[in-house]
Order: sequence, then C-alpha cells, then structure tokens
Amino acid sequence: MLHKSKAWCLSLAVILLLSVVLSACGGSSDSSSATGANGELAPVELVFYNYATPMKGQERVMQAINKYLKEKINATVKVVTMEGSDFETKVPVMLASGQPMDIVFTSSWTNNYLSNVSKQAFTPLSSLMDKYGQDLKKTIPDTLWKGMTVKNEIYAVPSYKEVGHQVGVLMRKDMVEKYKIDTNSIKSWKDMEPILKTVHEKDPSILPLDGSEGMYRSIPVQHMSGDWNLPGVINVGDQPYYKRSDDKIFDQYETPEFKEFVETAYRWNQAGYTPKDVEYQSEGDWKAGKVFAGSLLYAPNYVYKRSAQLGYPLVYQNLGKGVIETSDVQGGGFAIPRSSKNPERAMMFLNLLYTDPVLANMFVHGIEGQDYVKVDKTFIKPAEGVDPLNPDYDYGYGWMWGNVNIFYYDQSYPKDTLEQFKVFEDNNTPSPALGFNFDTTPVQTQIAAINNVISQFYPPLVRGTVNPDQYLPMFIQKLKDAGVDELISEMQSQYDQWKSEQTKS
Amino acid sequence: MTFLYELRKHGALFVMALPALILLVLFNYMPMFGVILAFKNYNFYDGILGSPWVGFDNFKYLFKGDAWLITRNTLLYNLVFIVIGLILSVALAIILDEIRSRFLSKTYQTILIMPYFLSWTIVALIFYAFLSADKGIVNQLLSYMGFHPINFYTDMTYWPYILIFVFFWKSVGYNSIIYLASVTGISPDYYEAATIDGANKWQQIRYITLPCLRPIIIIMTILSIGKIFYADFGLFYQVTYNSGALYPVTQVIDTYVYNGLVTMGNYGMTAAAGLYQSFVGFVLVILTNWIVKKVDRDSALF
Repeated sequence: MLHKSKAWCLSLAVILLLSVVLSACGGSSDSSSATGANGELAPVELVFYNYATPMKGQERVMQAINKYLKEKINATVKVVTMEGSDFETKVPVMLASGQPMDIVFTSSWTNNYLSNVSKQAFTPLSSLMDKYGQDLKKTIPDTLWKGMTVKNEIYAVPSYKEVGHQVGVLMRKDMVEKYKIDTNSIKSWKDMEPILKTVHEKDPSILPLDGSEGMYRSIPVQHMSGDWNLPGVINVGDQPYYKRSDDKIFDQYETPEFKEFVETAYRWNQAGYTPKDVEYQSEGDWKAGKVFAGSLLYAPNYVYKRSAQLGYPLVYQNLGKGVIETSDVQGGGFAIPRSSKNPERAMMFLNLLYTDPVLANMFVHGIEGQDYVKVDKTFIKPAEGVDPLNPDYDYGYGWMWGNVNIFYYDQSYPKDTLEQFKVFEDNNTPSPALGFNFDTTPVQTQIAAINNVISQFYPPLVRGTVNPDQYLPMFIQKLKDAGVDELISEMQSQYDQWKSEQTKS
Repeated sequence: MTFLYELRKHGALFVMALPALILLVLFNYMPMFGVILAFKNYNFYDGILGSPWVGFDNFKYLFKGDAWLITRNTLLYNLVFIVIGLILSVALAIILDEIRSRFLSKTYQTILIMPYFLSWTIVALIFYAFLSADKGIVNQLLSYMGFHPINFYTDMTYWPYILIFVFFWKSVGYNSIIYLASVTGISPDYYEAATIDGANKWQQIRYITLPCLRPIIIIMTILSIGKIFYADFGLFYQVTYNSGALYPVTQVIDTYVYNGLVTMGNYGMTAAAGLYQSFVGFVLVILTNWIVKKVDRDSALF
C-alpha cells in the first residue's frame, strides 16, 4: 500500500504543478468595475511601461505624482522606464505572456503598433474614450486620430508632438561661413554634391558627410506598409520625386530614381565624402569636430539642443518639403493592453496626462522648486543646486510623456518654441493615403523573405559601399524571387478598398 | 509493477533525481505543447488554443528565396565545426596531457579557455579592431607594406576562413576539456606496458589513447549532429556585423529567421523555424545512431 500512495503523491504533485503553470499562462479576462459600491472610485495601482531613459530621481518624483493622482482619480501609477533594445525585446514578450499592465508605449519603430493590433494585444479605445476621455479626444487633432485608426477602431492614444517627418542636414556653422556656402540653395539631396566637394577639397581631414543613408529618407512618399524599408510606396506632394504617370503603388527600389540615388551614393563613397566602414559610429567624430554635415530626421528646435550638446554652433537646412504619412502618426502612442484589469482608470489617467500641465510636467521635469523653477508661463530653468548637464530628474524635450503643447521648456529654448511646431507641421504635406493601414496577414511569408533581401542589399547600396552596377540588378531580382509583386498587388487591393470606404463615409 | 518495485527499492535515488526531473518536465516537456503554435495564426485574444489553424503556412518562408543557400551554409559550417573541431579538441587534449609541468599545463589551459567566456559582442569588437576598413590593424599593416587595403566587411572572399578561425579560437579550448578529462582517466598501466614493449609516442596514441577515447568521441559527435541545423547566432550575426554584402557566405538559418521576423514578431513563424530545426536534428540523430549501431553495437547511444 505504501508504494501505491507514494505514486499517487507524485502524480498529484505533477498535476498540481501543471495546473499552476497553465493558469499562469492563460490570462484571465474579467475586469473589475471602475467604481465601488457607493459610486466612489476604488483605489487602484496602474502599471505603466514607457520608452524613456530611467532617471535617478524617479522614485522621489513618483511619490509626488502618486500623491497628486490619488486626489484626482484615486489611483497610483507604477512607471517602468526602459529604452533601446531593452524595451524592444522585453515589452513584446510581456504583452505576449499576458503580464498585467495598464498602459504601454507602442510605435511604428519599437513594440510595433500594427503588429500588436493584428495580434489583438490592445483594448479598443473608442468607447472608453467617449466615457472617460472626452478632453483627450478634443485635444488631439483629427489627423493624428486618423493615423491611429485600424479598421474603424482606435487602439492607442498618439503622442502629440511634431506632426509629420522632414529630413534635413545639420552643418557646422563655422565651415559654412568660411567656405561661403549658400544653404538656401539646397533644395534636395542632389544639391549637396558641390558642397561636399568643396569641403573635401578645402579640408581633407574633415569627413564631409557622416553617411548618405539618411538622405534617402528625404524623398517624399508614403510607405504603404508602415515599415520604411519594405517595398511599396506612393508619391506625396505636387512635385513628385518618382516620375510616374499613374497613382498606383510601386516598388521604389525598381525605379530609375533609386538607381540614380545609389549611383550617387557610390560616387560619394568612392570620392571619400562618406565613411567607408560598415559600422561607422559618427558620434565620436562629431564631438571631436571632424565631421562637416549629417542628415537626420528633424524635430523642431533640435538644432539648438544639438549645438549645445556638441559645444559649437550648427545650421540646419531641410531637404525639400516633409511628409505626413500614417507611420509618422504612429511614431509614438499609449495603448491599454488587454491584460489591464482597470482599462477605465487607465483611460482617466491618459486623459489627465494629455490635458493637465501640472501632471504632465511632473513627468517631464520633476518637482517644481526641487528640480526646476518657473521663469514665465512656458519657460523654466534648473532649480538651485541642480547640475543642468547631469540632473537628478529631467527629460528636457520629453515628447515620450504625451502632449508637448502643455510642457514647459528650458529657457535656452527659443521664445517661439511652440510656434515652431506649427511651422514644422505646415511645411509637411499630408499624404493622400494618410490613415491607410496595411494588414500584413495575407503576405507574411513574402515579407519575411523580403526583409532578408532588404537587410542584405539596402544598407550597403544606400551607404554607397558596394558597386550598384553589380548589386542593384541582384537586389531587384531577389526582391522578385521573394515575392515583391504579390506584396504590391495585395497592398494595391487593400488600398483601393480603403479609398472606396473613404469616399463613402 | 516492476517500476513500483524499483521505486521502493531505490526510493532515495528517485528522490534525489526528482528536482532534476521536475525541471526537465517544466522546461523541456511543458513547452513542447507550444509546438502547436507553428501551425496557428496566433493572436493574444484567442490564446494558444483558440487561435485559428493555418496548416503549414508558417513554414513556407523557410523555403522561399535563398532557402537553398541558407541550408547549405548552415550544414557546411556545422560540418566543418564538428569534424575539424573534433580533431583539434582531441589533439589539444592529448598535447595538454603530455605536458609534464603542472604549472605550464594549467597556464596553457587557462589561456586556451579564456576566449570561451567572452560574449560574441566583445569578440565581434576584437575582430573589428583587426578588420575595419579605415583603422583596422590588418589594413594598416597592408598599406604599410604597400598593398591595397581590403574592405573586409563588404568583401565575402575571406569570410568562410575568418568565421571558422573565430569559432575555433573561441571554442576549442573549452571543448577539449571533456576529452582531456578522459585522457587523464586512462590507466597509466597501459602506457607502461606499451613502453616496455617498445612502443613509441605515436604508437601509444594510436593504439591506446584513441581507442580509449572512442566511446566519448562517438557520443559527443552524435550529440553535436543533433544540433547541426542550429547555427551559432552570435558568430554569424555579431561577428559579421550583419553586413549584407557578406550574406552569400554568412547567412544561416538562424540569422535568416531573425532578419525576416524581427520587425514582425510573428510567433507562429518563429515556432515553425524552431520546429523545422529540431525535426531535422531529430532525424539526423536517429540516423547517425542507426549507422553507429550497424558498425559497433556497444558505442551507440540508444
């Protein structure tokens, strides 16, 4: 009898163990009601994963924030900040395993918004917003809401920062003046060539451009998949870069214009205008003053911040008009995962974060008097005893905390900081396909194969490190083998359907 | 009933094995249930069981485009790693065993094992310092001697050799330990008898050391053949800096899956890749073991 009971014990233990593991795997779907029995809000703790640098003073500031939130919506918030590959690798796994969290950062470039939506990771927000987020809804312009809409439903509150994207070059001001470079003559990336030539001839010890890759982003298109590397774009603006007679979606890599770009990039690289190393890290050379120019995706007022960082003045010149496309709007946002037990309170919190300057600025700059003092309505300076280069808590231009229009700015920012956002937005042309979101489900096989072809050919070609005569035809052929035509035709049919829905409503 | 009898007889031993068994069940058997993900279009809302079935759709991308090239690279590199790795590790173990000075023997061992503990990121940086186009040591040396510098990271000619060299530099010291342990375990009586019979060093190695090592060599080889379809991601991704121009000789199944899916995060397709790799490994292990059994019954694993 003894051995029998032992065996029973063992199997029982195994069964118990299995059930514990299984129940940990399956998330529960019941959600508690927002209000207690007497209509009062029950106290809750919200877990908030944001893409931001962890700050030394975080705990101290969070105490102040929680005190404030407790009064407003009887909630406390536990903020977990991560960035880079940390965020990129950990957060999607947490979402997949159903770990309870109430608010999470999502975007087109990390913790991908569309792929999470297609995996049904997020709670639909429309009805929640109607009940608990009226102010929030009004604060954010329709363009942004449109970009976040997937199949008539919104799954994330967009970051309200600069609208659209624009590529330009930052150049060393002293050299621009010394060599009498007319920055206003730069209308597109092509106009950079004579300037780079001058710099290279006058001072060979200086690297004229820290890479040609970024320049390719100045071409005004909408990337129909939302992924900027995947084939499939349409022209944006009244002076299109790609000469097309129709308004159909096309593979940008197969055009004569792309050929021209990569041939130029190769010429520049051969001439020594751009770095030869595959893993060239420009930051050290910038700090040492060994680079003349660099192209970048520009955010308003960045030139001031960068000049201060490097310790010498820079000038900025945009390369043609910018674009507002769907993925720009998805440059950042907050979603409420399905694992949240308190979606209502999470929405109330987001509503406050976007509309209450007191709360928002605690997240961005810390505590008034301890971390910063106000200079006037919009501008602040570091509080006494705070080292501005190494503050205990300060996100500077902390776009990752929601709505930049209600933030305070350091007094070193120009007086027209907020107007600059408007100027930036006006310089960008909205894409005719703004709001179109591509559903990748039918072509996942093709995309996986195409991604590999892209990572094989795209970086060396646009950096100009390989000869396009040999590599470009291979690139185009391999894209065909990987199924680019099926991808484009799927995009086109989804786009046509989207367009017909737009005209109906 | 025999099992229950065994259980009663060796109760203490079973209790001792229990923690390891539980871990094995938890981490090696429980997750097997996730294999069904490979046949599903997984979404979080419906969960693992509720998500719709898609048949073999998730496997298709593994056979598209450059599939042949990737399979070839993975298999050939691993074959080289197994065969040359075996020869190098056994040779090294024998040489280390022959060193009579304890101090020297330990010093060589430490030096040889050291690279194993460096992460691939560090290894990549070390070799980048040698191979970089502008400031690399090799290129500075070349231009000093009047040759044209080579842009290693865009020129695939040298990479099969570089990768094989890097792999052995990092792993051979560590892999020789297990053989060294067996070599040290061989009874000195054999060698004494052989010396009396007039056998020289080569004959001793040929007729005593190698036959004694045979079982362990066979076990290690069968085990590594089971992993022949898994490539060392760090070696092929980090050390090459994922440079596209090198893909024809550096793209292996693991990097292909990573590059293809990193932006999509498709769990079904990732699971499919894992299942494909382990299935091929499984078949090969069974096959190798079967061959070993035909040749020498006692050396087979099962």
